[in-house]
Amino acid sequence: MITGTRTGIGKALAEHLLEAGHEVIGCSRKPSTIDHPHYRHHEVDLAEVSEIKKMFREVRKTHGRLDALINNAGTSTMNHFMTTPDEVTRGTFDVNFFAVLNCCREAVKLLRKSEEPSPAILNVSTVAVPWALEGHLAYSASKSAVEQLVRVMSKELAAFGIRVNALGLPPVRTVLTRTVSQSKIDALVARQAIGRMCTMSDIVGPVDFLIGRQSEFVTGEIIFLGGVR
Amino acid sequence: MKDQILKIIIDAIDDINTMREEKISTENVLDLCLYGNDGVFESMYLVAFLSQVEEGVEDEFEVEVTLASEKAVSLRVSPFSSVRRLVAFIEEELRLAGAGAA
Repeated sequence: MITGTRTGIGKALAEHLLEAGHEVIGCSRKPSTIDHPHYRHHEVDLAEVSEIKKMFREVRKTHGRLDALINNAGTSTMNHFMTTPDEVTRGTFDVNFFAVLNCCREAVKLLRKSEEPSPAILNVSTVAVPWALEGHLAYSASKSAVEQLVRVMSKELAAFGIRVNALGLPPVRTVLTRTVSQSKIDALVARQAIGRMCTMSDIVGPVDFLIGRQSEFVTGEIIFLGGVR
Repeated sequence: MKDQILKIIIDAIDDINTMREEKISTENVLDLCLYGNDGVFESMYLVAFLSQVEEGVEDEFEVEVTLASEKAVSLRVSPFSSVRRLVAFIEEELRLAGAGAA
């Protein structure tokens, strides 16, 4: 299961995993943009816990289990903290943190039923956390919370054989970064050890690894791409 | 209804037993203490057990109940102190949700 599959990284990951022969369940607030016989889409507002529960209930009835959950859906806001309204910060946490927490809570029940030797939860973090980017307080704080979730949850779920990791992404051209100027993106890319823009082909390999059997002994890790720390 | 609920609980214990080296006996299951000083479950296994029971109840009665709830943990006599009390708690939740009594 991948959250946020209508556009960007989520959509590209869904298409990649479908091509690799997996059954993929996706969700977004709006209708699907993926047409594939092995893809099932749910229209869900992840800020609503009742909608998350309903989606997982349906997944349990149709599939009975999950092998991996990729919490990709996220939202970003760019503003000086002094001029960021509280509701914007809370809304960012609702999607970037609480939706992840609630999806994990529901997914664990289905991951326990996986026949895979080490079912996985994969979350997404950002360079905005280690670099403490100005103008990204709500976004980076919510992703910091996700990183802590990864570390704690990896310990709490180890007894069930479920692994929890995160992929830390440098700037990628998606709807989330469309409002960031090219000069700002260039400056961020220049801070990476590998000084070029991250592309989807840079992401799919680490995702395959972190949700697959090759990383059976890897949990509680935040793996950053591009050499950012 | 009691027997159906009890069967769901025993099935859930059997399921949890598949993950444990030290198996939980279901011989005197009604008196089995689930959680607390004499409980057979640590918190994570209790959560796994309860989610298994929730699923079983939903499949059997087509009613969604939440067992790891604030209501459950704040009751004066914990519904997790014995299987007998958990059965009674689930019965009451089903009654409140309007599920038909057998």
